[in-house]
Amino acid sequence: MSPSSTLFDSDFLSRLEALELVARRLLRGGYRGEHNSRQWGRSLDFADFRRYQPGDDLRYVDWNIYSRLERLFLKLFAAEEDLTLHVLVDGSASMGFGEPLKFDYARRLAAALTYVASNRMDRVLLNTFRSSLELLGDAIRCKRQMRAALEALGRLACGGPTHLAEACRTFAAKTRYPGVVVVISDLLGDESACDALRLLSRRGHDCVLVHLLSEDDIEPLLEGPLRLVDAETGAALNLSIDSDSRDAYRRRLQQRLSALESHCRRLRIEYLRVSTALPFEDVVLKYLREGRLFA
Amino acid sequence: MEFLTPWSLLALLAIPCIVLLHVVRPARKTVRIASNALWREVLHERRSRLGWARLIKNISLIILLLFALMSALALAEPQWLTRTVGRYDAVVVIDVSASMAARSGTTTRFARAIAEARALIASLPAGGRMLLMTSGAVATLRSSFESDAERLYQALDNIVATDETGRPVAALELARTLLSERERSRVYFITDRAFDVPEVNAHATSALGSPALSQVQLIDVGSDAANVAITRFDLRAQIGSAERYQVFLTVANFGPEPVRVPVAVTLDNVALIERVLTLAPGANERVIATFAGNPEGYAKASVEVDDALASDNYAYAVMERERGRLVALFSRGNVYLQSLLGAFPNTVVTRIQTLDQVAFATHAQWNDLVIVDGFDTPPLPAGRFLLFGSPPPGMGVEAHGTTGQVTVSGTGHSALVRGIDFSGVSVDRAVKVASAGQGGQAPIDALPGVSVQRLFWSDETPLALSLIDSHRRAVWLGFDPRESSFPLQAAYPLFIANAIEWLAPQHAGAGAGPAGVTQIAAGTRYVIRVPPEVTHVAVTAPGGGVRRLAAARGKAVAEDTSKAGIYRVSAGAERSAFAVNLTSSVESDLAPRAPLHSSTTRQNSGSAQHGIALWPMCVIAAIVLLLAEWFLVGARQLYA
Repeated sequence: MSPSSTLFDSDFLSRLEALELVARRLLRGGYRGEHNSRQWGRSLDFADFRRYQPGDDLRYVDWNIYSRLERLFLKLFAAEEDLTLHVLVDGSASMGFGEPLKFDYARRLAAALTYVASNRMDRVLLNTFRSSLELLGDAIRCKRQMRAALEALGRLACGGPTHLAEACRTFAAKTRYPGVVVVISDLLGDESACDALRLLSRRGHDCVLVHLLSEDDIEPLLEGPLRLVDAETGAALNLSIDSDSRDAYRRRLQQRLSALESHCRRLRIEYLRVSTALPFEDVVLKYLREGRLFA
Repeated sequence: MEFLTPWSLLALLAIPCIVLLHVVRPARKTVRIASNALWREVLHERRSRLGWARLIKNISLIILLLFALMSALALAEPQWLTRTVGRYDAVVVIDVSASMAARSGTTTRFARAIAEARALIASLPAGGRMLLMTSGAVATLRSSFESDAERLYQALDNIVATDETGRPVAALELARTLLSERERSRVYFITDRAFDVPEVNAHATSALGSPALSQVQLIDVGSDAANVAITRFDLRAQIGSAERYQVFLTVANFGPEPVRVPVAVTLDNVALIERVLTLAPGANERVIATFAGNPEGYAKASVEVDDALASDNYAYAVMERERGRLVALFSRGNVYLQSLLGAFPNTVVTRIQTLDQVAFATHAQWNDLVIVDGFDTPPLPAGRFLLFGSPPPGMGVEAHGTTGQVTVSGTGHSALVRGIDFSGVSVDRAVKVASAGQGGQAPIDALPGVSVQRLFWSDETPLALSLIDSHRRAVWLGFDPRESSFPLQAAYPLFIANAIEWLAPQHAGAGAGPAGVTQIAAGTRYVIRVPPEVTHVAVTAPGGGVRRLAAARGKAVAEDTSKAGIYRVSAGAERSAFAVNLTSSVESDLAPRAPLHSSTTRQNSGSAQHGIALWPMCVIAAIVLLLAEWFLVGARQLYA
């Protein structure tokens, strides 16, 4: 993975800088930032009133109400905190397929997310998962740390089986506050995806699932008598593939995608299906924006 | 269901070859993919489609397999055996030929055939009718078409085994004739198949191929059996010697193993031959022996062996001296002629003083020679005649008055008159004869249909003629010898002797010469000659049963000669005998021949079944499958 300057051209970077990470629910941040928080704070956004308590700062007493009611009420303002963006990149062997490689696509997507978030002083934690979760370096808070993030992503290699649920259990255990969680995966060969997403949702995270598929996954070009070897498990399957088989595959895939989408809708998880055949810039600048990940 | 050529089912071995060729495919290409989980589901889905998709996918293989199956079945000629319900008319032909008496385990083939027939009667549907027939030397109806099972059982009880040589073709022809007008009919032939198959097959096509006959079912009661048999037995005088005789005997081994059998031939219990023969499987050996002495008596040949068929281990012959010449003399009295006839050796003369047409015909049939003296010659039946007086009617000559006294003026070249001197013969009155028709102008010796030869003659008319047509032979004298000097001449006995010998010749040395051998094949009719006055004949069969036969016109016919052995005949005071033998290699060969191709063979089953050939359907199915495959290939090329 090259540094951001070579990974993304300047025009694309400038357009990324115009983006802002959006959380669909109020999340608690660790530091001051640019996003509304559930906490009362010192921002300019009025939030509520409460009765005056001895010791409260008199500067926040609403004197207009006192003049009418002769009772002291204190004005409360929302706090503005940063967001914590957790990016979980699938590093299993199944990601090493497609043109371009799904894994490269996922890493670029993670880099873009990191860039946008760090540009707004949000906190970014990069993770990769296979059968377990792995944190890639420290949290990234500013653009100056982008280089380290890109190098961490560049060092990544895909391989091994996937177990998203196990990774999410680890993630939930390590995460103190809920944040925005972006899972980038093809979810192939992993039957635990629904359980994992349910777990993330229950922990209060604002989840976005970027379901990354290659054209080979969507429209396989296999034909004839083949011995299909699973890249993650190594299991072989003898099958004579014809047009009927391909139709059955597409039908099965569509059923699975529909089920996953409806499952995400029930859990209020944003589901974004992305094909690696789509231009990367379009996905980031348009598709993710339409998916309300960016504003 | 059964198969006529079951070895053809070996063609089914093509099926695994076809499957093997279908299964053998090029090695699968290994492809590494992101995940085969979905493909695994596809495979599972494909397998869960109850095989119909696979069936359609492999339709060509299925068609080829079915084609191979149908072809193999067609080659094996399957037949569907089924019981036919509903009424029908059936003819049950039971083989009663000699081979059916062969032992088969603890019973005989004949007993098994009777049991099969009983089963058929028991299976006769209500309203159906059945006729029993036996197939021996002749086909014999044993019952009419009966629907009453009890009557059929009674008729069946009266059927016995015979020692006859079977003629199954005649029986099947008769069955065809009996059923030719009936729509629902069938023929059951219960047999051991010990007869010549090619002969039967050649006729079976015409005998059994009638559309009126649904099928002929062969019910097989035969099995392989070892047998040694006498296939020929004969005695005859040695040529050139009146005192020596020859015995001819042929013994055959029809079994699969070589055998050593003692062979004996006796004549009135005097041994003529005693030998031990060694016979290879399928071989036969002839024995010829010569003996001298009294040729009269009962000859018996036997082989001492315990085999499946006993009746062909014995053969018989009855040897009798030839009876004398029988002469019927119709005469009111002629001392010259009677004296002369009495002088002939071995000649029995019966004088009848009146002449009526019926008696004349009877005597003409019974006697070797009929002499008519002093009567008007009646129309002549078949036979030999010496005629004195009027010419025989219907033989081309007729009387034209009489002459006065004439003398013999010439003699012919016939052997009857050769060397005889007629010069002193004078005749007081003779019948004048001329050829019949054409006003008597045609020459006597050129008459159509009759060979007439003048023997001697006068100037006015022929005095003696010999006449021969297709079934009669006569010597005619146109005068009464008593009205001539002929009896007083030496020419008279010489001419009469020549005439009698020409008309009724006897073997040289008759009366002391070779014996006559009487033996017939079982099942053939035997004509017993008896004196004309005898009206009944008693025939004692070998088993001891006596049958009285009616005799007429000097003969009786013994029809029932089904058992081999000596039959003794009692005709009034006369006693005679004749021998009945099997001596048939066809019957003694007990091995069942190949099954009839046009009929169904059933092996010892008690139920009545009906065979329907299925191979045409198999052929049609194979052709349809080929067409279907051709259509599929064309469709695939079209839509590929």
